Amino acid sequence: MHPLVKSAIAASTLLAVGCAHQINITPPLNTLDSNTAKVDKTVGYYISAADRAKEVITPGGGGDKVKYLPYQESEPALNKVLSNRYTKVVSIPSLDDKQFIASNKISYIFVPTIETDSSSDSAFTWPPTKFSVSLDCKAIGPAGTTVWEKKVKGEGQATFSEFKHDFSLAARRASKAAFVNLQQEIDAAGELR
Amino acid sequence: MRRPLNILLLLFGALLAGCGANSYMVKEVPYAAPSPPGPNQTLVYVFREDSFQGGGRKFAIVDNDTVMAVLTPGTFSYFVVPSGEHEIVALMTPTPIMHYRVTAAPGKTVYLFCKMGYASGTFIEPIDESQAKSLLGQYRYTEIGVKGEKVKDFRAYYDKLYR
Repeated sequence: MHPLVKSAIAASTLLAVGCAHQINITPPLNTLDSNTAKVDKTVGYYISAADRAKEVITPGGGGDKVKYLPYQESEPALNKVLSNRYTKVVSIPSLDDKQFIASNKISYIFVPTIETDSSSDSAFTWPPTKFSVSLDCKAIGPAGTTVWEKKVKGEGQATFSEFKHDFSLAARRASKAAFVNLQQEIDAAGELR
Repeated sequence: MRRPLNILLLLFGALLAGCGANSYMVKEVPYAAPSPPGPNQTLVYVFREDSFQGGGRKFAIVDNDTVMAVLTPGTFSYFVVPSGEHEIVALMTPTPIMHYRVTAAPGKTVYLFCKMGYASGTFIEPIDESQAKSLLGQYRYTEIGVKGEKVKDFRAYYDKLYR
């Protein structure tokens, strides 16, 4: 086969398969500022090493895909939301580390489960125009039982004129909305005071 | 020379001038570690990924509305700001292409990495000190001769984008 034909086939295969572009779903932390009254307690959150390293690929536009690290990139937002409500927030190395939990006088451990999806109505640009974040968060008490659990969602949209200044915009808007909703649920939860 | 060829050459020259424009008088100089930030200051380091994508274009690093540095691939710079919120923007004139909101960090140093790759993405992410220290040895330091030039208020712009 002629080298030019081979190259053309390779190029068109790449185009057909598409590729995954890295985005970042961390919302600007100033968008999560809150005037909520603080509870004088130390709380923790737990994200496993496997979840932190987990990379997710979902659809973008023009046949391309986007990839991101939902847990690692949500951690600053989770920390911010908990810090808005409690006087001290720590990352828990392991749910089984009873000594760490006791010595830090941790009242609740928040454990998130995150699901995401994306899409685009554009055939010519790869950044997603729609993004969704579903955040299932439970709080474990000192006895090791679940004392609270809520599922919140966030949706984000972005047009070309907006995302050309931030390719991750739809994802960050969705993530912001999910964590704002989580803040409201935590603030309203009587069992978490 | 025929007229169309003249026009083509002029256009090509203009393109080259655009790529190589050095309106902020950026230059690579030997790096000397700065003094630690004062109690009401934050020291901000910004690194630009050493990548091919957009490699022919410099971008300005803007703090809210003020040009603080200019970076090319594989370079870094630093500047001191009063502690508080700062929208750090990479401006590839005339378009801001990525941003990061630094929150109040009195007396601390913040390290930002501008990802600029086809697969690695186009966004700014914070990196920790050990990663930054490693990059200090690999990347080249830049300074600008024209300091404090005002551009658009990007803090207000990105606030509006996320409202």
